[in-house]
Amino acid sequence: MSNHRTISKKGIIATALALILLLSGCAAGQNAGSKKAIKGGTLTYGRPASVTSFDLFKEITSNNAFAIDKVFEPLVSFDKNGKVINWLAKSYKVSSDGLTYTFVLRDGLKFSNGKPVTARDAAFSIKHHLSAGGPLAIEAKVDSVIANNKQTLVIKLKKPFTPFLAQLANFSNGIIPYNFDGKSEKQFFKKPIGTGPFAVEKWNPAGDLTFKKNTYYWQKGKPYIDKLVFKTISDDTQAVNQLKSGEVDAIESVPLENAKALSQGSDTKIQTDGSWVTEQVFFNTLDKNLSDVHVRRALALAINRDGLTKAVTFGYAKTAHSLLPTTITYNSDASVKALNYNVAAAKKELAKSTHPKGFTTTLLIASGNSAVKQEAQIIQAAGKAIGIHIKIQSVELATFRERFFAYNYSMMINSGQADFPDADSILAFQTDPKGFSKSYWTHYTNNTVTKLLYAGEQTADGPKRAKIYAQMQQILANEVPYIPLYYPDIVIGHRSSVKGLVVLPNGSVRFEDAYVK
Amino acid sequence: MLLLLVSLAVFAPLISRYQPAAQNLADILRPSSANHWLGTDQLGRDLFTRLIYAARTDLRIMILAEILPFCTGIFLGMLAGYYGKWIDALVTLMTNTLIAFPFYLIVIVVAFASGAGERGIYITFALVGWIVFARVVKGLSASLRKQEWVASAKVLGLPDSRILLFHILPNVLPQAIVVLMTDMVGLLVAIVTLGYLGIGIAPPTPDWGTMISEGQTFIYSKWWLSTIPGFAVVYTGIALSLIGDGLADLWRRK
Repeated sequence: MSNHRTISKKGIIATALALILLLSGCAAGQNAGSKKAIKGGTLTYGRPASVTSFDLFKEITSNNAFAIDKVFEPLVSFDKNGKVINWLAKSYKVSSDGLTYTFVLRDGLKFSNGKPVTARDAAFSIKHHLSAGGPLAIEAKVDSVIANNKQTLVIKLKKPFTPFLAQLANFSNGIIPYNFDGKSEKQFFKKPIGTGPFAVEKWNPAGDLTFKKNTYYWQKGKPYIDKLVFKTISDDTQAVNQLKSGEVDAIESVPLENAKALSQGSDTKIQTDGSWVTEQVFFNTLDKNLSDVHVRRALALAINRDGLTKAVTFGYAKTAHSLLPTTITYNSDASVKALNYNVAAAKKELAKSTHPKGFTTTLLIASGNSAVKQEAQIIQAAGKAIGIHIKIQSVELATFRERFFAYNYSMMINSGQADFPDADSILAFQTDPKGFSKSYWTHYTNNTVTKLLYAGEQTADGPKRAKIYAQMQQILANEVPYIPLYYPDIVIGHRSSVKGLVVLPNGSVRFEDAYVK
Repeated sequence: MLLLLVSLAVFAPLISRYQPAAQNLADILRPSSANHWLGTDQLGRDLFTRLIYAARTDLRIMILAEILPFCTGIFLGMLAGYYGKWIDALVTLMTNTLIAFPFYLIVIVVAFASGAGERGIYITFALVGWIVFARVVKGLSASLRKQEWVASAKVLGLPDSRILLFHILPNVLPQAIVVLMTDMVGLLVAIVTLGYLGIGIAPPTPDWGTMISEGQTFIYSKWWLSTIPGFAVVYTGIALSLIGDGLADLWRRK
């Protein structure tokens, strides 16, 4: 008995000690757990429009771009501050004459079907993009693209092209398998295979999209989530409702008037940062009224941009003066002489035009975005003050795009956005009448501007390039093919339980570090 | 109830010192105050002013859009009921065909064809609004036709037009007016719905539907922006229904 008792005492002490150890171990485990990502689960992301295509060489709009960049990845990419970083390439070298670019691929890279990625795949992708052209064509004059060995790719240019590296970071320069993995191009993009963190599992081009985790992803152990669902919610107020109710984990388009409330919500948060976007009013310069520069200048002078920005963006934007947002190097927001709000000057300007007594025109907007609706009414009132009667035409997003792609509009509200971190991205897209976008479908043509654009592309970074872009932005501010309204911040709304979202300045979100607690 | 609303609508410019479309971007989303009784909206426009001007817009459209279908409906209904036979068959065919299409589908088609706005509402209602009147009036006139006094009037040699105008019409009119009141509620809701969907009244013209839709974004912080115009719709609906009921009771007692 006594013996038994002692044993039992020892036993109690031992058990107690073990318990203490175990508990402390648990506590340590918990601490580590709170910092560690949780693996598995599904993250549902609400977006305003469906993904209609994965063809990275032909697509341009953000609804597709931000899905394409989950599947395909470029050699170099950019971080959340817009700095170019190594991505599929572990290193790169640029020759001193700016003509030879040598990329070395990461070791052990694989596509989502498990096949290795070689320099031959990369060469095929770049060459195919060169021949395909498309809306985000490689503008540099490329001499040759050669796979030196399995991991080394050498691109030679005929002429230096300063934004080349930044442009390669664009989603449109993603790497695809050689020869579309033996399939036809059309077939391939229906079931795309890339190196990105996710692969397509289920896709309805008129509805939702489900990605599954790419188990061969080169960032070891990532992505943490098993599935990523893009849920289409075309109305931004609806999106907020669904976020609040927990039906979605995050939303891409937050009506800014709700941003503050979401940031202070008990189970919702926002992530916000400066963007590469400039919200603008665009003029169709082929339109009989708006081809007149005085008319455009009059409208620019009639709009109270400061008031509009304050009323519409609730502190999540800066009033714009120049075309390039302040997040992009060579913006001239502080130095440009913009046409600021002055109704008397606007009337004088209109008097100089071919329509001194005003006219009636239309303003095309995409429905479903509450800020744009408000902007349209402010612009309508501004026009009325100087005798320009503006009818607002609100159409569904897909129709909106079809209309302006066909120049079937007079004025529209839209945003210009850089796809890669260089001034050339927005400037080439919005000023080159020969480019795919024909000066962002304004058809604005000015030879001096075009010459400056090409000069800027070939001038090495430095004060000379800065001067060229300042000059360009001043001409654009004077001739107003578009009125820059404001530079919006990116605001992504998410549940408090969602961690690790990386918001990029182009508005896309990286999900490889994301998890749901 | 309706009188209050109509007088607010009619005398809107005298009651409010603001213009319904006048924006003040420095003074947006204010709560109720002495200067702005119901506060201001997202563009700094006075909410009360917009509310009563919207009553003007919506009530005006409601009444104007009812005139044509009301007259056509009664006319066709009487003809069909009184003469029967092929006229009846034709009117029935037309009503049955049009009734097969949902109202909003027709509005959307018309809005696409003629552009969104007031015109679309008038056209659609002229196309389909008469059906409800025609059906009621047809039934009534058919039963009246069989009554003795109509038969005797015929025997006396009175022309059909006289019988229809002076004998049938006064007897079917009260019922048609009762129907008109309920129909107006439906039409008002339709106007507001279309405004809400963005295919009705175009901005900056104030309308309850667009007010509800624009205020919706602020529902969590400024709930009154949508709620007050919503209440106005309900108020008008109840007022019209009460009148309809009252009239029906009155004529029934007679």
